[in-house]
Amino acid sequence: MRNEKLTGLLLIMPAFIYLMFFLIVYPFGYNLYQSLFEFSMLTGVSKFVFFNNFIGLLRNPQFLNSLKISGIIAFLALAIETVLGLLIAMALNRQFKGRTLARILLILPLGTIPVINGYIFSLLFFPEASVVDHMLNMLGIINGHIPWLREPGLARFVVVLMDVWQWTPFMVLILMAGLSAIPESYYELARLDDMSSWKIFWRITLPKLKFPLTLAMLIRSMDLLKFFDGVFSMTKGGPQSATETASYYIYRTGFSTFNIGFASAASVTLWAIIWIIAFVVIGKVFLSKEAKV
Amino acid sequence: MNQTKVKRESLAFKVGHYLFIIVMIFIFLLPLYWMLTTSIKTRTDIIHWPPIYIPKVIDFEGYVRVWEHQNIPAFYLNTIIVNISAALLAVAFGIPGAYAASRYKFWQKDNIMFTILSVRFLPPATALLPIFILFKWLHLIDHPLVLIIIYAGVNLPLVVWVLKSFFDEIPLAMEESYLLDGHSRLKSFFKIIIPLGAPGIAAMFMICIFLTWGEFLFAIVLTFSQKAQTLPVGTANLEGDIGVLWNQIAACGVMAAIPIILIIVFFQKYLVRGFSFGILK
Repeated sequence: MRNEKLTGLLLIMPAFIYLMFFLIVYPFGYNLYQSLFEFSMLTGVSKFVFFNNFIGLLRNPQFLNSLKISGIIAFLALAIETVLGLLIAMALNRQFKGRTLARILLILPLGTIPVINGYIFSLLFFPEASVVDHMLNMLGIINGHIPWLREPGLARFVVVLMDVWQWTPFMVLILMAGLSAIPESYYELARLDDMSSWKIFWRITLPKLKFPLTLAMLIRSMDLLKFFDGVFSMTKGGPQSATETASYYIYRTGFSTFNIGFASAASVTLWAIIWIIAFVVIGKVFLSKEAKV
Repeated sequence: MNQTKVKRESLAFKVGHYLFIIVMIFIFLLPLYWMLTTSIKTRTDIIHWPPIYIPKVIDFEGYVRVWEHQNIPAFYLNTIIVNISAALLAVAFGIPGAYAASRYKFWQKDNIMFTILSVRFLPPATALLPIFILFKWLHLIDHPLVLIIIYAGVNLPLVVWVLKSFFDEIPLAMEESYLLDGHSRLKSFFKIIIPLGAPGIAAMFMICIFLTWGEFLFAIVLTFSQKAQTLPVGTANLEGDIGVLWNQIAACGVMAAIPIILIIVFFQKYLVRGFSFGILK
């Protein structure tokens, strides 16, 4: 028996150590170490500054702004993706002609390259020559042009739309799997009871989708907090830092202004935030009883 | 089964349902359509008011230029090499881990499984600088190996979790009867688990390629020449001093998306499992 336990541990160790070394202990340790120093590009000397970088960081409007921007983008995109994903998944869950084709066409955005999508979206929303403007004009919704990528709030919205476009299919796939796991008999009983469709949705469909929905929203929100590629190719964080996400901020301070201590402190902080969320929520969801069924 | 359901649905509902699906397909295909047509438009037609929906002149200049003048063949080859090697590495490290998670109880199992999982959620940007320094010290910056090592690590949590779910489905009894015949555990692993788990392993291998194919942040920091740069970075390079080469970028986008779109279409039924860490089927 003891032998068994040892074998299991030995088998999981290669994967565990690989991850611990390359992606957990070493990067975190290095960041923590660097975050205590101030590196000068001019002299090439590092000076021990203790927690100064962290104090500076918490007072730094750009860093705080980037956290706020990441939060706003994540919240908006997640809300739209969840509602839209649920609607599409339910629409695809019924029998109709062309269902297989519709399902394939609707997941195609998953197969695109995020950084290239940034360029395609800047064409779709190009100032004064935007396809979206043209369509909205034809539908009579607007007259003239909307300064999509020049207005801070609008630019942020376009970034959200880009993520919604690429990742709603992810929601659709997971929710469709959840929907198909609801036994047909539930619906038959509900119909015998003459329940309205609205009631069926709130009383049967949604409660039964609770677990897949939580899981999908969790994975999506964590990925949204990493948002980088589309910002790089479409807005470069602008206009006026309206789309500068936390990841973009760390990249910019670390690799273009070489403020290493500062970037490390920002990394440690972001890391801590994610870990806290992970401990509180992720562990519960992934190791829950439902997950083990 | 659906007879009663169909009867109850009014015509208006059916029309609305179709309309919704059609509008959604239209919206979700528009950026893809725009990428495809931009790649074959002449430069003057790309940014145009009113927009040109159907190119009047088809011009393959974008494809020809990226293929002949922009090192795209090298980037494409790097992308293939990096992603296939990384997927192999992740699967090689993942299989024993997944087998342990599926068949053994061991010390701190939940915590170890959770730590493995947590890596999937950490923002890559936070590990960027340490990894850059480490590989600079190893003289591996701008070498395909650096991306292979990192991408394998990025996908490893998923491989362990998803393969565990595949191995869980192989009946214990099959292994037990094989063991009772006097074979060793190791032999039963190769004779029972690997063949029966093969579809899952193959699907996971493809999903790994799919997930890192478009990775950009590590690639742009850790590589800087055609020796190791991948397609996403190679494409971003086309946004140069003389302006954005839209048709070439779109051409790269189309060429880069084709293999991945094939993967998601053919491995559709495994995608959900891959996305949900093996929890949903």
